[in-house]
Amino acid sequence: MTAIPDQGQAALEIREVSCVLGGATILRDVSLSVQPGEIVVVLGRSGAGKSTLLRTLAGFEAIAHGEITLKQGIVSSPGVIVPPERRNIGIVVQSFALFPHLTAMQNVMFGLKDADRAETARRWLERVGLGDRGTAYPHELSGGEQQRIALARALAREPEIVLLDEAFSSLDQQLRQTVRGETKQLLRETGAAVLAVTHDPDEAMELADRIIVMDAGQILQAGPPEELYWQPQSVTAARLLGEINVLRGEVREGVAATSAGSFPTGDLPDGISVTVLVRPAAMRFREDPAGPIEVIGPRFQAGFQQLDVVGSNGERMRVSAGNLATVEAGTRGVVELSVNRYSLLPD
Amino acid sequence: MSIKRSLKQGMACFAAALLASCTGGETEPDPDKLVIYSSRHYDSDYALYKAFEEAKGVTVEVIEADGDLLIERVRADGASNPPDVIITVDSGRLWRADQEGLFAPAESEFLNERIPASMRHADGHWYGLSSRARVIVYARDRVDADALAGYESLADPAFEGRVCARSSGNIYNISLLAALIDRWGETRAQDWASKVAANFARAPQGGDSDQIRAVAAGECDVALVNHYYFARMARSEEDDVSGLAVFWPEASPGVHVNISGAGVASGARNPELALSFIEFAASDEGQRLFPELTNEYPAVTSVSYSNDVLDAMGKFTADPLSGSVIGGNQELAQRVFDRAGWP
Amino acid sequence: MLGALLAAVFGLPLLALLVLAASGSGEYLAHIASTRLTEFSRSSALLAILSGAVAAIIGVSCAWIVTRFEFAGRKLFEWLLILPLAMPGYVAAYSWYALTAPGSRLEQLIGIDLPTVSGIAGAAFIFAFTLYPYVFLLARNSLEAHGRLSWDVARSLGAGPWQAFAKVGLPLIWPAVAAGTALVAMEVLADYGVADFLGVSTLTVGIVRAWSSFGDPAAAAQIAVILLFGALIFLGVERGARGRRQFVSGEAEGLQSARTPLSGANSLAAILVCVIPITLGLVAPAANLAWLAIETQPARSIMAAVQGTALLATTSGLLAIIIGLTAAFALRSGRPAATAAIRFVQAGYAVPGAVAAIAILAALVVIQAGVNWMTGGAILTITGGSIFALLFAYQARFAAVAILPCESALGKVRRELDEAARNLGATPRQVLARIHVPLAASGVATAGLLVGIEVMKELPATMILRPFDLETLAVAAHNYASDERLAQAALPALVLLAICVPATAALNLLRPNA
Repeated sequence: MTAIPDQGQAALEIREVSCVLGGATILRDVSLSVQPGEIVVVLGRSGAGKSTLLRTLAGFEAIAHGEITLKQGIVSSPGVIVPPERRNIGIVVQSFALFPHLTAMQNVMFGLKDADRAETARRWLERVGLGDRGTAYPHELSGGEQQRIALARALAREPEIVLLDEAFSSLDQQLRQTVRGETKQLLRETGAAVLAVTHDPDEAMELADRIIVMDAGQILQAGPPEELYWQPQSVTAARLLGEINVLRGEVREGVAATSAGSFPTGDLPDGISVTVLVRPAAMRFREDPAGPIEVIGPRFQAGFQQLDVVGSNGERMRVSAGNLATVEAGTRGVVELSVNRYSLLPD
Repeated sequence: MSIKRSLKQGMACFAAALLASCTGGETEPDPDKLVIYSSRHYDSDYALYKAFEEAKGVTVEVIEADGDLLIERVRADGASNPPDVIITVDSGRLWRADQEGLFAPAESEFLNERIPASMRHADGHWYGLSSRARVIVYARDRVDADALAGYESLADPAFEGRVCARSSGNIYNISLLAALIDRWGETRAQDWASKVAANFARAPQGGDSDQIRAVAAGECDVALVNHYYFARMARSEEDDVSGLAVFWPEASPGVHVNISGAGVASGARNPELALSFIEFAASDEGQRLFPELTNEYPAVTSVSYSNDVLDAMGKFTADPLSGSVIGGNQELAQRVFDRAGWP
Repeated sequence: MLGALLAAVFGLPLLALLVLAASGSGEYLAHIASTRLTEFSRSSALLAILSGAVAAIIGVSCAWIVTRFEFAGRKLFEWLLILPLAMPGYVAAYSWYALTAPGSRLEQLIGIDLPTVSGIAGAAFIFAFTLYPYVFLLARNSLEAHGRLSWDVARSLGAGPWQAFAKVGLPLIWPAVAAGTALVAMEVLADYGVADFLGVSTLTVGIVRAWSSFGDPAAAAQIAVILLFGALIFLGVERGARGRRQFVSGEAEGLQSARTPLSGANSLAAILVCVIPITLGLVAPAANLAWLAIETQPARSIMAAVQGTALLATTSGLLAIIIGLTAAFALRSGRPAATAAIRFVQAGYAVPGAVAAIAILAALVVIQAGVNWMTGGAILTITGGSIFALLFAYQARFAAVAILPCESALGKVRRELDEAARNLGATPRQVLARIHVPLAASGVATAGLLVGIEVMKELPATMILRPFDLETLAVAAHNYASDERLAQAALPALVLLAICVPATAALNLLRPNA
């Protein structure tokens, strides 16, 4: 786990930004900041406003309210917009937007101004492992190569801020993981503040120092990946990060009793009903002929045995099967809960 | 409607072509229908057709096309809808059409009597109906008429930067130069053309009317044009040519004229009706339409007509040069123009 | 097979042109070479370059403005900017010359000495402002297809707006701009009416002279071959300059944004940029004609001309659809022979109408002889003067206009769709009816409309090949105008516009992206 840098001056700070496009409010009071060297990932469904957030940062879109501050000062506020070329922000987009009429080398050189730009570009090509592909045109490169050229092009200008807009989504599954690792490494080396947006929870959790969950133009929750994963603060946020069991219960004497068992509720008052959010991985099935849970069917996924089960009140959930080799439908049992890996949402 | 018919015929042919048994749309000759191919489209002509229809109780079908095209096409495939009468402008073209065998001889005492010999074919292949004179129009306030002698004046260095004329591709210029080649010889004619070109106030552009307007606007002082454009403008309310006058380049043997003429077509279905149409056009009734409606001079000099502008322009002597000379010299004239640098 | 057949039929005129040229003595060519060939060539090249450049500037600026910015009337301007395409060049030339000639009524009215629209500059003005819609249409579609992502990314890489436009914006739409400009240049090279009237001695003027003054079609064909050769070099250079590069970026999703709103002075400037070409290309010359037409009694009824124009335009439009689709399917087959054959057919667009007509006449005479021989007599007239010859000439001349939209329309129909449809039980015929036709309909209709409009405006081939009892508006207008009776020409010209303008406007409805 990489340490989050000290809270010095943020490389980028967004304060209460709203953005209206074509009459529709796309961003609503969004505030966030990214420190130099920090990788922040905005996770949300398509249409959540993630891309618009990046576009306002890059200076492609004006904002209706709030302000965006970079090291150089305020770059966007209502009526003020510093043009994109004066923001020193690198950007990599899903389609990579490589200029089709320029070679890989020329693409990387595009944003460079100084005399030894060719040398700089060559160095970057080598750094992304494509030293021998400089003369190729984009359509002659593979998807992974295109992504790396796009990254090299964005980083070659040594931007203080790098924006990644679904930068891995157009790669196939296997390639995605490799490229993601390399990219993270490269970004770390540059020390730039990185803001990435994605709809892919795996990508968010692998890349991020901090994840921000967005929905309908608003930030739902922000925090380190583990916190967001195990303790989501809303059903929407929870689902965005992966499978979740949503259980109903009522607080009695410091615990919420659900069909899966009792969850400590801390200082919540007695009598209120709560929703408990808990990941399958935090619930382990144990066979017990007298238990309240009945197995409906086993599932094998990503190397883990999981079970679809139903509680005495008819609630269905998915739990991990532990090291049990095979569990047949109809088997009864109980669920063991991990400590602190759930959240309670009072109604 | 003739279009509908031709389309129907066309479709029928198309269908029949597949069976290779189409009859080519042969139609019975209608004794009361006169087919005229004309490269003229003037009010006087329409009035003439109408008057002829009324006088003879027949129908006149007119097909219009530009001069050279008319000749080319009648030659290539006049067979599908053969003309009875062919009318075209310029004696050179009449000669060329005759060379291509488009006309049939048609003798007429009446026509021989009325139309001067210089304005008709010796064997009655075609008869001139009207003429236009190639004249010099000048600005009265800037040019002394005494400074003008003939066409050669346009080449006078005194007129440097003061001459307007249209391009050398135009048939009227070509015919004039063809006549001048006969009059002066090729060398002198080319010398004349290059000196005129050197005197141009501006590169040739537009038509004859545009040259006259340019003189009126002061862009040039003299222009080489056909008289009938000047007369048309003088009679219209659109243009003010009151400051201009016509100079007749009469120096021997006379003013160059363009003849419009008609002939009975070879292969005509109604040759008698065709000849009677030409006779009608040469009658007093027909002849006066040309000066009155189109400002052309009638071929029959005895005809009386009312046109104040033409009257005011006065009398002139026309160059009686035959169409065969003009026609024969036309290709050479175009070459001379090219060599002389008259665009 | 289909492609080869098409090429055989439509390449025939080109072939006939070459044969005709080879049959000549070269005597006229020698004369013209020693006198005016240099001038002809220089004027043609200069006029094509100048017209193309100005048309490209107008077309690209207007396309950029209507696709990238939002301002009052933008949607309307997107429509209006295409309309000058309906204005035949020769009509605009007559009208503008009358407006700006020394001492014209307009000059008297405003009291200013206007520069006369004449010579190379004047002709370039006429061509640029009546033909820029070709560039505008293609550039606009390309801009819409590309979105603005590349441009935005270039900006984020430090390029200012002008730099981004020059280094990325323009290069990406370059194939569209080049194609549009090439269309403009080819029309300019093929034109006779405008150049002749405004006093520009182009190669085409020389070609027509060779025929009309010298009665030497072979000489005309020889100069036409020189012209064709020049046009092909021009096209080849442009193709060659593209090299391995591609200009299509696969961006469709992602960072797309709406048009940037303009306000105040910027909005006014945008409106002005759009208003100028529409006014100069269409409104001003048409208004002048309307003024003349109101004051003038028509000499003859123009009903026959209206019917003739309508007949030729609709028949040609339908034929163009059939031919365009056939060619597009042949291209889709991807066989190199078919592709080469069809590219050959497309080159017919660079042949001036008058020359095409002469060549077609020559070709048809040969065919006629064959038909006569086979059938033993003149039982079928297909040569000049039959409507077949004219319709054939139109198709040969405008094949490029018909094929391109069909090709791009069918391009949208990806092979996977065919396969999916077949997999779902559709027969090939059903695939055509249920997949291809609906998807390609707008492109196919565009082909028909474009050819229809071109046919309505076309003059030289119509004059040479029409059955003499078939009047058209273009011929009627030309006849009067060539006799310097512009006022009489105004009515047929206006009626022609009245048909062409709505037809052109309809092109907008058929936009693939609309």
